[in-house]
Amino acid sequence: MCARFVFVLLSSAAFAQWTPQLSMKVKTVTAAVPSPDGKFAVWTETHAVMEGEKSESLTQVYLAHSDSTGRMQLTRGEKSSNAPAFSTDSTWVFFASDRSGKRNLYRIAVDGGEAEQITNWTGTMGAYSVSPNGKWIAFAGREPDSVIERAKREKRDFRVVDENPANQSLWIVPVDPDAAGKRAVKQAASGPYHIGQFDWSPNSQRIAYETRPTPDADDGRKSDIYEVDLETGHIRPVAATSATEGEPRYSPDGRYLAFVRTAQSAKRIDGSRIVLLTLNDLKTRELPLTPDQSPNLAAWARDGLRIYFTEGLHTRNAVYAMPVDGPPQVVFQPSRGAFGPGLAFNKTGTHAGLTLQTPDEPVEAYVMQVASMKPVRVSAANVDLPKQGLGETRVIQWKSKDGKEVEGLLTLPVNYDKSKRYPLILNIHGGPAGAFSETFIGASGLYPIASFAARGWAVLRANPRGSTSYGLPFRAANFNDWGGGDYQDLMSGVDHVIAMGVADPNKLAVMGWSYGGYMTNWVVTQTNRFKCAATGAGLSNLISMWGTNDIPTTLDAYFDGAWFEQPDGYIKMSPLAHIQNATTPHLILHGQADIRVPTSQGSEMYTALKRKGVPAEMVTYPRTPHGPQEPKFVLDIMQRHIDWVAKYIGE
Amino acid sequence: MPHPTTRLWIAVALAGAVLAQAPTTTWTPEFSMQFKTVGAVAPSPDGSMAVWTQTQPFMDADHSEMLTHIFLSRSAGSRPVQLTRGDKSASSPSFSPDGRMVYFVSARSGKNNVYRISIAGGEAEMVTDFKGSLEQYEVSPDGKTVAFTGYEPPADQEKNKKEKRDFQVVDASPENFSIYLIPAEATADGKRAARKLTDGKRHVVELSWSPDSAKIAFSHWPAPGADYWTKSELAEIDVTSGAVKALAVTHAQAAKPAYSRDGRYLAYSKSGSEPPRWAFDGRIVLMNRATGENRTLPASYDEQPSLLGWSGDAVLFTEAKHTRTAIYKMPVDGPAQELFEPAKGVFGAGGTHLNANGNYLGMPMESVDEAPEAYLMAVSTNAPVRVSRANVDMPKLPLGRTEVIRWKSKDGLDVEGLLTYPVNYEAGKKVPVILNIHGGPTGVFSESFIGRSGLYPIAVFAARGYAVLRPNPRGSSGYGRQFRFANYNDWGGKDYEDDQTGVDKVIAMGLADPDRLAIMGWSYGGFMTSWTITQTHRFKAAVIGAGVTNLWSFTGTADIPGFLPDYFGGEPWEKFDNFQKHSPITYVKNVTTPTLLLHGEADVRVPTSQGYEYYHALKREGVTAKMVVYPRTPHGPQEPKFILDIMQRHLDWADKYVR
Repeated sequence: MCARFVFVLLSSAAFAQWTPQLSMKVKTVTAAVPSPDGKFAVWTETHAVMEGEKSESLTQVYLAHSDSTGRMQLTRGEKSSNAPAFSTDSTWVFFASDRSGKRNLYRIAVDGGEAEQITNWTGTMGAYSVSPNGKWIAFAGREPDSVIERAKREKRDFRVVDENPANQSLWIVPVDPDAAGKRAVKQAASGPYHIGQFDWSPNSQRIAYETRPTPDADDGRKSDIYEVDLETGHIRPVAATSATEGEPRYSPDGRYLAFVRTAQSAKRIDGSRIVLLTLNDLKTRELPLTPDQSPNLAAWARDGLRIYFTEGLHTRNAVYAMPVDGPPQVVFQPSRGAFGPGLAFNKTGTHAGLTLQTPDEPVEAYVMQVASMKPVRVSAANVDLPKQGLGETRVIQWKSKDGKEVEGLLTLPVNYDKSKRYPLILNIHGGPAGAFSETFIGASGLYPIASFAARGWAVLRANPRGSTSYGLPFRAANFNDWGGGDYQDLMSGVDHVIAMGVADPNKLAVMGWSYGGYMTNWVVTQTNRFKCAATGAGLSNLISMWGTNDIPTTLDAYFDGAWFEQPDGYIKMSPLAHIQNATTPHLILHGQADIRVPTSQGSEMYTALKRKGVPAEMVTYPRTPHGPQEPKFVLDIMQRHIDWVAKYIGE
Repeated sequence: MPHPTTRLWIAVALAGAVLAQAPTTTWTPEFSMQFKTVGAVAPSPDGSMAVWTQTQPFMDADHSEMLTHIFLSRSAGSRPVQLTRGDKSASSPSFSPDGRMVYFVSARSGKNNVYRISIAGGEAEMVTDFKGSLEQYEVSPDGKTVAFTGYEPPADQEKNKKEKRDFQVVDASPENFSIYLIPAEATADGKRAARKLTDGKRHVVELSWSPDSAKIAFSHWPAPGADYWTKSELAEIDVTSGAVKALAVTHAQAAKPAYSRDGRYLAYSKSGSEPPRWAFDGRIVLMNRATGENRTLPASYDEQPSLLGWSGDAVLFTEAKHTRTAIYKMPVDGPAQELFEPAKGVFGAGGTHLNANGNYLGMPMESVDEAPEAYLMAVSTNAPVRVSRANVDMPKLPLGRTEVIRWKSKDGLDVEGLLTYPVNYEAGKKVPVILNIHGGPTGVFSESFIGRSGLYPIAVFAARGYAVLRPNPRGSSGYGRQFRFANYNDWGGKDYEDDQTGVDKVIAMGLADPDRLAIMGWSYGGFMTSWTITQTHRFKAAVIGAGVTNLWSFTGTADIPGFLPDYFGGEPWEKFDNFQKHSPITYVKNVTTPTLLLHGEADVRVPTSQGYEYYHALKREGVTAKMVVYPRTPHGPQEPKFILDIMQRHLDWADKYVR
């Protein structure tokens, strides 16, 4: 076994308790992809590499028979390989890798041999997809910009904001080389927009693709769908209203396009629904609403009568089938835990691949026959991890101050003793349109839940109003009310855990990232009940946030317009407007390359606390965007969360 | 300025170039780039010689930086000799006490180190081999020892960076400068051993050797951050024992220690206010070293004296005086007498040095129509003699005339400014006018060369038919304490009226076309530009450079969080209405003026986020707006290719909307 897999083997005999170091050894697994003939599945496993100067995640592609036999690692090396897909004849596995220095496409035979490089692309590459007839690969990409590179070398690299967006076009390349061994890449579609996801028509003659004005996150709301005829090059918009349209999926007969569309205004916290488009006359028909009004399209059933989609459902999620003429029905829901987020159907519609995990079982890849929907584990990424020493995680419900039902996950300390009270950490998720679900508590992440429980602390992860997975009214219930009802939902959750006899009311801590960081900042300006707080990439001043972050229209949607249209609300709901009340010792963590919640938001909070004399510490992470990625930093963040709580609350 | 680096102040001094071009016929940014700047003029101990620096851009395919070299004049009238060479800069020259060596600092080894070069000939010798960041040095009066300040990063810092464990705990490990000593002469085997003299618990800022070379007086801050200047204190260290004695511990700011040559006094500057105010008022204090008694000398005109050193029984200092600068002599029993004011133009206060004997001054001088040169002046004569030939061979292109004008502001206050006319201006013709606003707000427009390169190409504007008004509104330096403090809690109030009444005056003079006005400024000048376009639509174009647009978020993100709470009477949570009321962004819905925003991406003084806040609001409101950001660029742009771009964008934006 080569040196870079030193983290894999772990004797459970040596196991003492869950620590951040142990969590770093838990691998991430992404969705299994079944082969068209249903005989195989591929998936990826990702682990942290932290030796010497490295601090990165390494992903490799794995293969097994659908009955989980014959498991093997397909790709090797120091560079990651990901996004595996089968050839139509199930003999090749395509994947993407930056092993050449730039992201390119490769294929490797299922029955042996090294990978063959298919593209020699020197620009940037996004999604790719093999045509149904197996002859072509389409990918979204951008050619290298020699002008920009030269300007950088010559130090003339000033940048005009919003000019020259890095828009991707659509390209196609033949799967098989010509007689000279070459594969010519040709542009299939381009326009005054950025091309993202796309779908091949069943006859391999057309591609429906998502466009937006620029790749900027804020333009995601302006997503439309276009279609190109590959033979004529003719391009036409097929769903291009002021609403957000995305996730195009051709029906098996090629006559319809299913897609997901938001409400027409796109100016509020709105839901989305599945729409059917008849391609010959571009008439659309809305299908019935889904329970969370936030469907993710998976695939059409082969009979062309149903569309599979997934959606969050409280602390879990579910696979639904939406008949073209009726309301959606749940066709699969794990008995515990959560799957996904991806769900991959094979082209023949016989099998689906997914990942599954529960609070006390780490993630693995599974394949199920669509006929039975019974998952069979194919990966063995985390089977050697210790199983003991995990605190029990329960779903609990309580009534908020205004009577609203709220739910959350309560993780009890390891060796929980009913007769004792324990310190409690209130952990708040981001979004606010996010949700805590029943994922493995030992996984690496910013908040080491299993390690908290091992230290003797209980953890409450609440889904307050504004969270996903409880329907649109619940998700929209924090409109123009950040720090209001959502704050009460969280506080009443803490009250509930105290009333349960679990939490010691004098040993409370609060922490969260992003909107969770906003709420943590808000909490310390509203109550002194918490003995310490830790904010990660949190908002502190909604006015400066509006003008500096990359998704201002999201704030418009929550606060009924831009700050200069609604200044009073933006000020009132800013934690910094109430900072005179803060006394709680505060740890502030922020990535230096965060454009979602810029580092300046953390600095504003830290500067005010410091000048007020509140104990505060700020740690910034170079190269780090909104979600920390380098494993050494992730480990540092987990440890700092533990140390901060230990310092102010103790065991 | 006593603390130019600690304010919202920007004075980009640039010139000179290596651009070989066809004969130039009119002013362009490229032509301005060819002028050299002159700095650090140091006379020899006997006053017969001088060294100085000349700086010019170094721009080839891959380079975009300023290159500085040291020049020597052996006697007045002799041809200057270039002492240092190469594509790494050499700066901070000073003579050895015997006048035979010139010490300087260069990063030619990769890190800043002290070198020395014999004026008799030969290449330079490396004196220090410091692996950290060396900041400054001073040779002891006996010539035996070089004291320098610097910071050595902990051994694991580089390793942590390589291993990507380089998270940063804010404020946790300040990079405090310590004092180090190293022998001037190497041992027989060619080695010199450096000795660390101070413990690094405080940040050493300035130092001064006692005349007997036994002690060093130094100023120190709690940490190096720009916000800490208000906490500057003085101490004296015995170089043999290392014993440190605190001097003059008060809540005032104390800085710039200078021993008298007989060793009886230590002169230093001290803030008049305790704690110091950010608009600053300063005095010179004499400490009797025998008794420890401190005597504050009478106030100077602008109450911002910048100490040059001792000349006989008097201290010399420089100070801004309206649009000029002056050197004053303050006898130990005061009051100050004006020693020298240039007949025209200004000398560069930062580059002016007194020799070790206290009888010669070296200074860079320039005027509105004369490019900078180095001058040497006997204190007794008041007659500076030019020693450099930095710019004398530059073509003399027609320059717009610049004059000092005065007007009454709305409340009757007298305000002054510099008005530059278009080249070949014909009386009675109405022309487009650029209102250019300086930074600070405690900066001041002075009578410097209008053809120099910088952010605002004044000579080029004049050559293209514009007039340029550069007012010194209340809040500016050079007009006394009361004037400088007159914009407290009133940014955008009467200072705004001072600027606007200046524009009214230029209109009333028959010069300005009221329909072709543009406004531009950097830093506080960017604040005022962003403010002005929320208050009036008279300007048809605006350019905001590194401007403060939201006082609330500025205070939480800038490297000087103490600055605005001083100007606005409290912290944002205590005086929230003040911060709101004086923020340009509060009124952003009023803006209709097409606006260009320029900002450095490495600006910690006015973070780039200040530009983005304003830009995004303008864009959402449908106002014509464009923002350009400059990588690697701090509050004052430094790379010459960027400076050229900035000059050109200012011209193009004005041309597009008002020319």
